[in-house]
Amino acid sequence: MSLIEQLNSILNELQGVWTETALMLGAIVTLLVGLIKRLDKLVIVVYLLSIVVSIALNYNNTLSGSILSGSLALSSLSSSFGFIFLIIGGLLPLFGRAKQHRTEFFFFILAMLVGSLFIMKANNLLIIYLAIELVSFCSYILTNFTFKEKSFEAGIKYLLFGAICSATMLFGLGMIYGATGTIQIRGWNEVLFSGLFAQVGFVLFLVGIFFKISLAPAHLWVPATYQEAPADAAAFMSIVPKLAALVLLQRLFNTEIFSDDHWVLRLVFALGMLTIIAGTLGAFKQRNARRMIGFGAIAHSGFLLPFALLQTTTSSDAFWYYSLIYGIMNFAAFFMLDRYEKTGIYEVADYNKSHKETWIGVVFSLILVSLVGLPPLAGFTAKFFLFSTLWESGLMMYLVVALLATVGSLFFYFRIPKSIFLSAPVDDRSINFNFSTKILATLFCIVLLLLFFVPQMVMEAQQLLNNVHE
Amino acid sequence: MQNILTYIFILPLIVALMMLFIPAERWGIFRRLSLATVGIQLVLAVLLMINFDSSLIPENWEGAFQFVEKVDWISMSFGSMGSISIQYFIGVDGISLPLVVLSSFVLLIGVISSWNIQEKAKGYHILYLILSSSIVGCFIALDFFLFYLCFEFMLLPMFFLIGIWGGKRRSYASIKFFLYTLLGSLFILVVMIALYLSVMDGEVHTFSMVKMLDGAYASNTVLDPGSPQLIFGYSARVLAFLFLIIGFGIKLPAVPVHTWLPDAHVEAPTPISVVLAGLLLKVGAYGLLRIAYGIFPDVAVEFSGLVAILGVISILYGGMNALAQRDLKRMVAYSSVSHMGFVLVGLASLTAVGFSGALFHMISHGLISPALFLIAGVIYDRTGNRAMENFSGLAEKMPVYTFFMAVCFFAGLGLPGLSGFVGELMVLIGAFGSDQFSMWIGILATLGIAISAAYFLWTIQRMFYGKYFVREAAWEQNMLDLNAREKLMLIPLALLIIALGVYPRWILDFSDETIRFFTQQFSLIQP
Repeated sequence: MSLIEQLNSILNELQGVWTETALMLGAIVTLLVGLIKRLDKLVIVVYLLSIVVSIALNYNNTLSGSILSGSLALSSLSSSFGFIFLIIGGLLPLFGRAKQHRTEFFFFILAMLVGSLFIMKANNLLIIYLAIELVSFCSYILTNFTFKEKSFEAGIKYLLFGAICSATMLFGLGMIYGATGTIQIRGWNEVLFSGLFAQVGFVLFLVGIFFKISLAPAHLWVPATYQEAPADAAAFMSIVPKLAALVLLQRLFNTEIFSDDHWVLRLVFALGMLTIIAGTLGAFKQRNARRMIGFGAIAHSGFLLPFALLQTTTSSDAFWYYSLIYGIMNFAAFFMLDRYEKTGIYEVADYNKSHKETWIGVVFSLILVSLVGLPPLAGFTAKFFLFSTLWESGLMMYLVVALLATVGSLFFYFRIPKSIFLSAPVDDRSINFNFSTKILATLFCIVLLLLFFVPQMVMEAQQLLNNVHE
Repeated sequence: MQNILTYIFILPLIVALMMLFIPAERWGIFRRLSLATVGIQLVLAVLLMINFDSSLIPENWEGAFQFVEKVDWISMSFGSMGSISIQYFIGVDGISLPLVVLSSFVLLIGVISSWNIQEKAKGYHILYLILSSSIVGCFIALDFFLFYLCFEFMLLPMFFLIGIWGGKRRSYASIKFFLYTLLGSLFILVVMIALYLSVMDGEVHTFSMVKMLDGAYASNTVLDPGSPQLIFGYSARVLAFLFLIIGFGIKLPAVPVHTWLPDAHVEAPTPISVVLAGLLLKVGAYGLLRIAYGIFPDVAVEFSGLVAILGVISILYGGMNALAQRDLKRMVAYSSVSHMGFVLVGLASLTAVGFSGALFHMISHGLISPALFLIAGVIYDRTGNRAMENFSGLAEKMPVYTFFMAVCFFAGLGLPGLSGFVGELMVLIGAFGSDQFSMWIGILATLGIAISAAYFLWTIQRMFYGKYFVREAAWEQNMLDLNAREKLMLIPLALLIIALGVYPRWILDFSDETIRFFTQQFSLIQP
């Protein structure tokens, strides 16, 4: 191949990273615009503009497979999940962030989006590492963005925990390289990973990914971080990096380096069950509402994990549905928590102060019902697909754990409606929600209801948005 | 007439939606709307009954249902399951028709009983209408997904109805109710998924219960009777049947998973107790009958001994507990546990008469238990207290009340001439005539009737006979006889209890052919 041809193919393959490029440029412009005092109203405009442009670029991308000499791998999965991330990012301004440090906040969110997109697409161990670190560093900083002592503490804990995980991961990467002699994932095969050395290296490498998915025992940072970080950052962190890491995991196991009953796979499934149990049991005794929902999000990581490990078509369809619904539900839940916190309600027990705001209470309850997974909300369909996938693949133990955890999750999620409606009411005149909150909350609820009654819309959306076909 | 079932099902939902837009201050309007809605529902149900062709002799389940409506609802391609197709598929046969009519009737009584609820009336009536829609939905659904949707969707309104308008420990009782039933329904969900993956309608997997009843299994699927697949070392069909027994057993409720019931009943407001005892327990029984026994007749034959033993334990243990209660409402709640045990025994007998008895007992208990809870509610409304030792000699002061109490109590203990007798008798005939289990089941069940006589008669003696006495002087002025509204509820109930006791064929004629066909399935399997 001549040099010109090579250059041309590289130029052609660059369209696979245009989305990220646009986001990075957007991040820089956001920062610059924010520097000029007179223009700081434009920050949100620039932010949204870069998201919209990235969505368009993501839509236009038709490349698939390995690009840029194997450093990235594009798939229909990474393309369609890109839409979830970008849309979640685009919805973040709904939280109504105050002026102070807004520029920096949106800069870091854009940087995290770039990192998350690269996590999904990276096909090279070093790029995986860099992308995960990019996301992590932004998360550490964003955790501290309320500038209170508590959130500083949470940020430091998060940083220390993350540093250990990342060091372990780097060590694992070294072992894999030592054993296989390649840092390209596309070069992997069963033979390279037949030795124990490579397998242990792989497990250590997984630690870093599990840290992002918040899989037990690497979930310990989650409750404090979700509780102390600003609500919009917590909403973003609980959805985007988690799903990105799951997509990466899906691709790693798609290489079929391990057979179905290999100990590595068994270990990961066991950790998934452990995550579900830890998240559910942990949530029982929590007093802080956000912390409780945070534990619920840990349990959801455990529910999402099988989709990344099972390589059936059912699993990949269910993965898409569950992830999208999880994104909507969790975003809505954090949005509601934020609104309640703005009126001074932080503890579950304090929700009885808001009993006069019946409509908001009903809507929040419905969102929580969806998180539990009861009909007629989309959360049920998601759980239904999960159970179907588990049943079809014969993972009976996992199914039993997931079923019992669903019952358990009802117990803790329903402490909030219980507090709003069932406990002795306390009158607090200062608590009221503005009209836009009610409208937004209702919209979230309608979307969740709608996607229960017409779930095919979710699947059609994937077909429609996706220009990447394998 | 064509879409009559849809109207019965949808009407309350539409009215509930309308209620959202009526300001909460005008609380009086909600009860009228509820009454009108449920009234229309009852009229439609009666029309349904009149137009039902009870002489239809089914050849397969496909032909057993009338007023069938079928519309595609969800159809999407999903992984290796091919395309998921969920239908809005409803219809009634001789088993579900009486239950639909019973539902609308009991729901009407419930609205009258909640006439005086002023506090948060808007929320109450919206939840009540959603509840009524989902109860009826359970009885008419022929698509398992739709059934499950309605089955689950009963929980939410019920949780709030008990939790907001209930008694002192309402929060505890409502969450206990919710957790128990959710656990049960998840068992059912697993079976639903397994059935879906096994049953085919032509080339596509289907949720259609009719296909499941007719056993349209694709070969070599998990639940295919010929399939050798094992799960945890057991045949999948056996596991599925046991899961259904657990799931619907919680709803029924059968001992030992009955403990949510007394708490829920005691804390629930009277109208909700009426609906809970009259209808929600019947949904559990209906699920057992239609799904566990209908779809898994081969396993049911194997396990009828177990089910019968569960039934007998429920009868005896529930009865003993009722005997020990000092709270009138709790006593009635335990008597429900005891009575639902008869349904289990009737089903386990696998005979036509036992099945008819179980169905008839469901209907009759659906009339008697609401009446009993209304009776308990009368005392509670007047004094705020239900402890039996606080009252005595009420017959002297409240003769009309005592009369209705006597009708309901005697119906409950199975006095000939009242509806309770017919159901119990048929179940016992079925049990003694069945070759599924030994005579002892029948003998012990009969003993249960003696226990029920003991607790009902003892209560009458303690509360209504003897010298007039109430514990606190302040209650004295409230001890008036029944008012017009209470009579309005108790008279129709009492009339129906007597009518069904005297002329049971009124119900049995509807279900005869369906049940005959149903029980044929078992004789086909047995050698």
